[in-house]
Amino acid sequence: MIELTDLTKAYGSRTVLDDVSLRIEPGGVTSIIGPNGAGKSTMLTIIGRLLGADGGRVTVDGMDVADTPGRDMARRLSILRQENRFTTRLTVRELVGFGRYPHSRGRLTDECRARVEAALGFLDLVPLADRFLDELSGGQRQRAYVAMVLCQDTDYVLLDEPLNNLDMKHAVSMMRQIRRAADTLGRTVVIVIHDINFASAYSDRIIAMRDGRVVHAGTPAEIMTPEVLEDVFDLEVRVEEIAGSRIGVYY
Amino acid sequence: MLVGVLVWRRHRLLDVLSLGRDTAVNLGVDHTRAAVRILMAVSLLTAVSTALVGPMTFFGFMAATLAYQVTGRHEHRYVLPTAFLVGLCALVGGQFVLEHLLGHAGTLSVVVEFTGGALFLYFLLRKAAR
Repeated sequence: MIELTDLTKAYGSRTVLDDVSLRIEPGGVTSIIGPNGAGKSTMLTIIGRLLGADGGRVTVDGMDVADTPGRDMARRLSILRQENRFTTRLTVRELVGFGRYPHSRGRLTDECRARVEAALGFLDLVPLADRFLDELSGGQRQRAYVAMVLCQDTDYVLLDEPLNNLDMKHAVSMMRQIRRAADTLGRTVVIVIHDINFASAYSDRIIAMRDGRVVHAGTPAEIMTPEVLEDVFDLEVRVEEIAGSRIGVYY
Repeated sequence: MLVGVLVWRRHRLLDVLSLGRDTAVNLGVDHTRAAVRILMAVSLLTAVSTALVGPMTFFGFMAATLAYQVTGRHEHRYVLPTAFLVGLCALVGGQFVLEHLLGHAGTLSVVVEFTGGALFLYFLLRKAAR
């Protein structure tokens, strides 16, 4: 379980996280939604220990992310940020192999290699495994990064806007793969996502943020109502039930 | 020599650090500690080599760039020894050419600075053109 207690963060005089307390239960997919500047990515980055908090604490299975040794944390929780630009020229297989670093310190064992191949297969990257990252399309590259964090074999996987820059087809296939990672690999996946309908259709829980606070949390059925969505986004949203999912219409 | 070997033994850590801070932290590297240690090792290496052969601004850049070009790879296990060899060849070879073929016609550091500087400009302009 991920537990946040009185988490605060400010950039200068601007408060981005205002006393957030929250529990994220293990298992399934949890989506964090909210308008720009609500503090979603900041919260995820602090949980993923890439950023320090000004106050409060985050624990993952009881371990404080701020003072647990990096290597122990890296075998329990992985995070992928939106922007990943590497200066080194890597093939997909080399990149995914880096996911094994917390386990093997870079000396890949046979088990590691098997895990790398499994992660490549899981994200349909086998035909691209020996291509360089800069030769791939945005969607393929995004899949390679996700394969790296899955290969890290952590119980918790945090993804910051995994659908960024993906077209409809690739966005759907990415969400299906995330769903499958939760269902068949038993990972707890937490994503920051902009599209409320993707959140509604693919997640088990939704956390809605606004102005640095968690304003609503619950199942998609509880969050996907006109009242809640208007409260979160300050926008009139019609919600219809289509093919078993609650879809918001706001265009 | 000893410091060089110590750095080379950490080549896997260097590979991870080259992915950037966020990815390195995600993979369990204590980034601040690693960065401080490597900077300390680098200062020591720079100090010793400067004391031994004198200051050469572009020499390190030249050796590193050529090492990347020669190996065509990013892994520090290949790049570090190659850079070492490139540096050694350039210095010893250059000194040899100057002393025995050109009859002490100049100082090596001037030649190295010129070629290294030219290489630096070339890469700078190529990057700007992209």
